[in-house]
Amino acid sequence: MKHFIEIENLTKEYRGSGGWFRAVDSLDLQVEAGEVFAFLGRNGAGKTTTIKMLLGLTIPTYGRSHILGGDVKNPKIRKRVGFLPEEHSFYPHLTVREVLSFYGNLFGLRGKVLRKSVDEVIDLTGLRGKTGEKLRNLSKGLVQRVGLAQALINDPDLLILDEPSSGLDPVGVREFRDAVGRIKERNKTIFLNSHQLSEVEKLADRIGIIDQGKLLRTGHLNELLAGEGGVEVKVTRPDDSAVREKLAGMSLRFVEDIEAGALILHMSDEESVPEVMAIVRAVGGKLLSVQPKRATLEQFFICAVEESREECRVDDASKGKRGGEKK
Amino acid sequence: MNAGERHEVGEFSWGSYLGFLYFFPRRLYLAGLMHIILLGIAFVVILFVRSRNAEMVKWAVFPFSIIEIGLLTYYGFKANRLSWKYCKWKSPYNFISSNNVWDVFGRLAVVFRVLNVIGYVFLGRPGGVKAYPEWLIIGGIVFYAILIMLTIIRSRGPIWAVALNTLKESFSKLEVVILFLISMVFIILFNSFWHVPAVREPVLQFFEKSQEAAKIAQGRAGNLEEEGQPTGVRSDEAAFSGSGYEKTLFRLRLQVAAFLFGEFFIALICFTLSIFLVRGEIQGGVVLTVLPKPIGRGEYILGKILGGWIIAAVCFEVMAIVSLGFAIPYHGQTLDNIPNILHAMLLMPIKFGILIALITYFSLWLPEAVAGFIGLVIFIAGHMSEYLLDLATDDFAGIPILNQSFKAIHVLLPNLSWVFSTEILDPNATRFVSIGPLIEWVFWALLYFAVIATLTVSTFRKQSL
Repeated sequence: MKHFIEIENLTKEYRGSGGWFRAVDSLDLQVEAGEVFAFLGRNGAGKTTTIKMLLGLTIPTYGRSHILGGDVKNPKIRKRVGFLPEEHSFYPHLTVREVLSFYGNLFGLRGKVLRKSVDEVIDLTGLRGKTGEKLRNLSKGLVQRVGLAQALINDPDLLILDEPSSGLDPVGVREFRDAVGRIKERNKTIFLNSHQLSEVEKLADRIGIIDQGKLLRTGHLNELLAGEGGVEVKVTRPDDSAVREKLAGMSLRFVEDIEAGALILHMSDEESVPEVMAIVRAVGGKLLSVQPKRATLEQFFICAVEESREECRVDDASKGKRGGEKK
Repeated sequence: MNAGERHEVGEFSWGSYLGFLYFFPRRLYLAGLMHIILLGIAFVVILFVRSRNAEMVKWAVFPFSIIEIGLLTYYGFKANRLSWKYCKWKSPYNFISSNNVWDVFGRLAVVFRVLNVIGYVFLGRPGGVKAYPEWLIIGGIVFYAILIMLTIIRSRGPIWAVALNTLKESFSKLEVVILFLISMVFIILFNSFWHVPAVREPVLQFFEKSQEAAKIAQGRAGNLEEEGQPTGVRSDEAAFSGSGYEKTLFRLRLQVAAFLFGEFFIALICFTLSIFLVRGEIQGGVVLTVLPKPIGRGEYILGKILGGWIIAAVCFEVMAIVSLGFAIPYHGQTLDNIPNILHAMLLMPIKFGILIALITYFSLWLPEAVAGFIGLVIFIAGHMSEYLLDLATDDFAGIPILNQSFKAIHVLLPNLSWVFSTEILDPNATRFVSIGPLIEWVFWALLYFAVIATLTVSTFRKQSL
């Protein structure tokens, strides 16, 4: 099996007060075995709807999706999938161990096998010492860990996490990220919906950016961010207007470092560095430093969903080099 | 045997052969086995009953219809493994290689079957036009009832896990505990009244003081009765003015009243539970953690209803056992209420099952308040089901549509009047002396439950969460 997740032309339309609108619009996506794929997008971009359709919780208007090479309606397929939804609650009257045993029962686990599975996920998610507490008495962070534990109770091949750090404090986010990191080390395939870009940057192998139901970009994180960064050239401040005039036709962004008395020139590729330097020298400027810049995921994400922003403007030539596979 | 009967027996034979050949399911072998067993039973019924009652011959069609309508609608055309094998066997050139052939032969089988039915309906015995569709509908309902039971048995793990979890959850709800305690208080207080002298005597003295007034009233009533006017005398007052029989009757009425109050509060438990049984889990997001697991939506719904039903049944049975405890000292007396309580212990939980399934169904697609209100209306109207039937036969100034409407409502609503507490516990009622009507009602109630459960499952399957 090549793809663990395969989505083809998946579309979901809802009827709103202003007529029909598409929450997910002709989505095509593949996630391969063993990778951590992060699905990024603004609120209402269609991430959760996509996951719900993937898991058979929401019925697509059209299009199709496969998980682990089969139909998600097949119980054999679902036995290999773990899911932590964004908005969830568990049975508050149950203790941690009871709730995990209940979810284990749904997978047909019984007796010793069930107890062993419950113990394993308790250790993995750091819930040891809390097993006898009722869920209604736990903090949000601990409940979220219970959520992760229930998603792992069947030792899934594919783990789908929808905004797992939503509502957690910074310590909780870090602890949760560590727990997911431990799962990643077990070579599991993870499909991660998240707003926490720092979390995604640390965990994801590949990302996909969705906005208004359409997939904008997909690609390997390192490649995308490296391609996005370009080069930063720092020069002493020459006659600004003369430099700007001479470099007007080039794909550059100017940032003035007033304190250092320098001008920073951002360019999307290093090939144009010699040409730029020649122009700078011609107007009396001196080179201070040249360094390749790796964009942050935040920059990349914002530029992907809001191309009109000032810092994201590039000319057509360099546009083609950005963002890996553009949909 | 007349021509019509011959035709029915002929239908039976056709059904036996065609049903097995065309509708043997791919996955549910048990259904196929059941088909054979039911046909066998039908055959025996024909042999034994035909000589006694010619009307009973129509049962021959019944078992066949069960399997036919169910498999036809549930498994579709690809279920015809046997017909596929048959085609492969008959084909010397092995031209059948595509799975689509299953469909083709399945469709041909259905066309053939439809022609067969049309032929039966129009060429069969007089009245066949009416009889056959009715049996098809009943057959379909029975099939779904069997299917639900099989689903519960076969998928025991997930369904029971959900049911037991619902059970635990419900017992942790304050409103359930309070309602149950209130019902118990009614049972214990009303029954204790008769057994605790410190409580009973003052009340008896009160009644005895009014005995004279009662006698006077009775005397007046006698005069009024002679004049054909309403007496205005309460039987409770009269109960203490007469014989031991009347006193015992009064004790019994106390017991019935306690039972009625208790049942009312158990019904309230059903209401409070079932409005949020599934809807609460959808709104809270619990369902999002459950349904991605290997549990079908149908199994989930059945588990929830089963859990709710067990709660209501347990609460009721505890209440009834306590009542029984109070009734045992009077065992063997004229107004022995034990058989009636035992009847109630059997029938009431079934009634609560219907109620829970109905409200759960409405709660899936209506606001909570509306679902609860409709449930309440059905609960009340269901208890008046037999009055509706009376209305269906009354003359409404020659407007037949009104009669038809009442008949339709009577058919659609659950007939809860059979298990109305006062009826069951009425010492003069002889309704359930005969086992026949009892079995008939249980059978009907289970079918009704199956229909509602099927509706609930199919509604839930279509919902986006």
